[in-house]
Amino acid sequence: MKRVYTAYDAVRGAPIYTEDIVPENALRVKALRSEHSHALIKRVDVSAALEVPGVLAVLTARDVPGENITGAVVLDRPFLAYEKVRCLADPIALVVAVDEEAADKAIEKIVVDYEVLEPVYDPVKALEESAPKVHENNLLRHYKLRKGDVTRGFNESDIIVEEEFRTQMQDPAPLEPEAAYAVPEKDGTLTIYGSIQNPFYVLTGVSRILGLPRDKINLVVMAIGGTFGGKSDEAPWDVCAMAGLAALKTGKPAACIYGRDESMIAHSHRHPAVMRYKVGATTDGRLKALDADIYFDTGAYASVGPLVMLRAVTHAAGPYVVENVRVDSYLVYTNNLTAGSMRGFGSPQVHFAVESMMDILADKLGMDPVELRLKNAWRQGVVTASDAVLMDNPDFGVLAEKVCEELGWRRGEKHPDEGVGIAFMAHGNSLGPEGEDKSSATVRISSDGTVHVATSLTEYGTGASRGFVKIAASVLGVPEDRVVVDRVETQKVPDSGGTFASRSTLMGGNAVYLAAKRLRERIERLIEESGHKGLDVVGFVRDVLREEVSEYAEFKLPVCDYNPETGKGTPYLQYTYGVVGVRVKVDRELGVVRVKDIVAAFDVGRVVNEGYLTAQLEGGITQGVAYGLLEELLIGKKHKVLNPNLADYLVPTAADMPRVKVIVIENPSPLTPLGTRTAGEPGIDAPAAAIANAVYDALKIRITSLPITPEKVVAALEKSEAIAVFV
Amino acid sequence: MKSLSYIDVFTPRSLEEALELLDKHRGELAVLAGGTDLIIQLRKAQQKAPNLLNIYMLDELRYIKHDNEIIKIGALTDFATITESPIIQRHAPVLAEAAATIGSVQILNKASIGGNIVNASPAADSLPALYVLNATLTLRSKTGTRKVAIEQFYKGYKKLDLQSGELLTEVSFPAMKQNQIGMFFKHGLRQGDAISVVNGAILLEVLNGYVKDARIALGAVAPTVVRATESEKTLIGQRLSEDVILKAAQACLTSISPIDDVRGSAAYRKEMCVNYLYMTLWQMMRMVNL
Repeated sequence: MKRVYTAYDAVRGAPIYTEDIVPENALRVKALRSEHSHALIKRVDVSAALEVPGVLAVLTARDVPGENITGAVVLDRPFLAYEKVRCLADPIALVVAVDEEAADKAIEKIVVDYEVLEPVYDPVKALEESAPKVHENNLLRHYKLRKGDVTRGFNESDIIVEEEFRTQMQDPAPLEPEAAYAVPEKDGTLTIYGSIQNPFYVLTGVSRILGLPRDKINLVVMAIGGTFGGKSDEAPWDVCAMAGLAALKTGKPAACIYGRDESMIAHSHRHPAVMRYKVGATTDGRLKALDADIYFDTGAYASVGPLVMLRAVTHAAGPYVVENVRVDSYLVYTNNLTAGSMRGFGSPQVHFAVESMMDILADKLGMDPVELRLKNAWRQGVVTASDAVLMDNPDFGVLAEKVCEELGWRRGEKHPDEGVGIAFMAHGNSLGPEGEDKSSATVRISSDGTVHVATSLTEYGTGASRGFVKIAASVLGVPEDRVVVDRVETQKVPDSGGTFASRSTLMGGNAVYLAAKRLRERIERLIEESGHKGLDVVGFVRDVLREEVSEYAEFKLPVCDYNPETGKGTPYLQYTYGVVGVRVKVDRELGVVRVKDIVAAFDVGRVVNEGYLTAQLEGGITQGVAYGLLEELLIGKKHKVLNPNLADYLVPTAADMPRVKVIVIENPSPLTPLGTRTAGEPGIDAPAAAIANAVYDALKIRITSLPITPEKVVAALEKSEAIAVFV
Repeated sequence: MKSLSYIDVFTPRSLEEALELLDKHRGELAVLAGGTDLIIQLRKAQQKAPNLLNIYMLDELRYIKHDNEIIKIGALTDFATITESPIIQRHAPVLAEAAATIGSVQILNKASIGGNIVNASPAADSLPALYVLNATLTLRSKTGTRKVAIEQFYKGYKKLDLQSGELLTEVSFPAMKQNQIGMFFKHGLRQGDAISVVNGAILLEVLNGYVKDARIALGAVAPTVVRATESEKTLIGQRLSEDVILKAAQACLTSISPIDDVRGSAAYRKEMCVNYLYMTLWQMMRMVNL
């Protein structure tokens, strides 16, 4: 049994990634993608492409053996487009060739006749009656939050603030692009090696497209060079199905590996959002009413957009007690690239809006922003914005105190053009309203005394597999080096659900814990019955029993009762809580915002693996700073993607990041056995808002759209100076 | 991505052989040096890519010499070498400064100064420095050698005074004098490894506190790098003061014609250009008036 690859394998350059194991003589598959964002396909002529030397096949929709339809939540996307294209990522034909060069050449020879349709790119405009129809109905979902009566709330408010926020399309930009390598086996089955985040979801999709039963396909998860959501949705289905289809049609091994530009266009992105907020409060800072309309642009296809929208709407009022709430959220189809999973999952957008609003309000009230937040922050037993009682036990006071002290919040003299900003965050743990959350694990001790942990949760750098080792080792009382995590293959491991929603350690960890506990108890009984008292668990299996013992366990969280139609109910049982503070210096002349200092405190429940934990939180913060200042997939005047490359798509470099001080608070959740809270995503939620608030503190300009580019800062400064002169 | 499989690559062993090949295949070859720009362009090109003359092996084009107050740099010299060269640091610090900002360590090790010049990106970071140093380019062909001033070399956006059969072999310029100071500036959208939104170089010659000569070159704000002649005129003959440098900075607007693109709008570029000139001149003023 192969084990999961480790960080050590990665740093020494071991051949652990999918592309590393593709032999030179494997066939290559490449996709021809649409030239237009919205068009009817009138004709596809592949004859000239077939003439290119080295080309074995050119496949179109007609050649799909199973159902030519995919979709993580809604089956709305053809695997290979026919009749119509809805965005630039739509693949129309696949070339199977002896090498990449021949495939590239053949792609150029495919002729597609289009009838161009009017596209729609703005999620608000797409809802208008006269807007072009991307699908039958551009409105995909409408979810709500309801509590009390906002009209009354505003009537009782002394101060009301309003603002519109816009956020950009962020690309997950993992280092390794999507890749799959399919091998037809002699027994008629298909083995597909790939960079696969959620193997059992991919299995469902690939089996449907290829028309092969699930048991005829074995998906083997190779080392994953990052995902950040890009490999969570349908991109791995596509590469696996493309390679698999080529292998089936030719009977030969075939690989499909995306280039950087293809990867950045085809995988899921963060939903661009338009958010209109209105908040009312009393002069002493009590929140009376919150009213918001939120539009999320899911692009041409749903992907997991409906689940992202659920998370966004249920986080839309922040971790605050507001007496009266109305939020309506709309998930809208457009002809933009598809949005879906990306670290944070709908949460960073609404955090940017809510946490900016809190500062705008504090400014109007003449109140300290931290004081205003603490006055309204969640505590155990409060009634949240979805009119449900919070059972969890947050303590924002401790988090804020630590951050303010470390950052020197509004103490001492303020340097010119420097500012401090703060943002609170709460990130719902597990799937909540997105579905029943169940995980499973098998823990076994083999006859040689090695402990094996098997789940379908994959390792993409979060250290979750190290966490499983620690948990199993401590429950069984064995050294960590006696525990291995088995490589994920769909034919061999139990379905533990997907490796998303920051759930590995929470859900998988608890399943491993339960399985290991069961295993220990069973062996201890055997020890007692056989009279070998004093022997340890592993020693007994190895020396006395001499055969494998295995236990399986499931861990389930109760279903949450939030109802998106009524806008009421509990969306998540527990959350990860945090406070992020930043100090920035803004260059007035250049508009450049430099983050000088970041201090962030998180309540993570319980620490399982401190090194990986802080790495995840720091990584999330870094990607959050990039969301606030740098990263945006730019669309040109002709609606082509202008920067699908890492030269012009600005991921942060080391030079862009200051020291990040992460403070971890252990306040175990009362609701789960281990008491852990999730850590993979929460870091990304608050930095953008904290930076926007710090920029306001520095220059008194409020930037309401992300990213906060130098150009926006210069324009806002000019406007504010013009007003100052006018006044 | 375009297939490059049909491309033929000629790899000569000497400069003579390279010039021979260029002459034989007139107008059919693109020259491959470090390849950091060319390969990406070929992969994205709309038209058929040309065959390549790979000169990367020609070590005879890698040198930095200080020869009778003239600095000579072989066209294949990479930017890491230029940045670290004691000769450049001493006699043309403005170029050492510019060269260091061109890209990541990998790019600095691979990209050559000749490639940066011939690629002719208006945002190329070495060009403003070479403009203010009054650099001369040596172009060789099978039949002879020709020297062109760098400003004359660029005729428009990516239009060069380079005949088919000619190869850029050397860049040379006078060593900076004791009373000359130079500074380079670059505005990128992130702190590390950024492509310039605006860049530029300033070289001032100061005598008894007065500006005797001023050269200012700006990049990414016109189809080619441009000299800010009005700004220069404003400075020459003056003592540096806040008033003078502000006027000089604003005067650059007559020399530039930026466009909107992925890195910024024209209006933003204009503003950045003025602001950077002012900020850089301010620093130079402090150095001069110390």
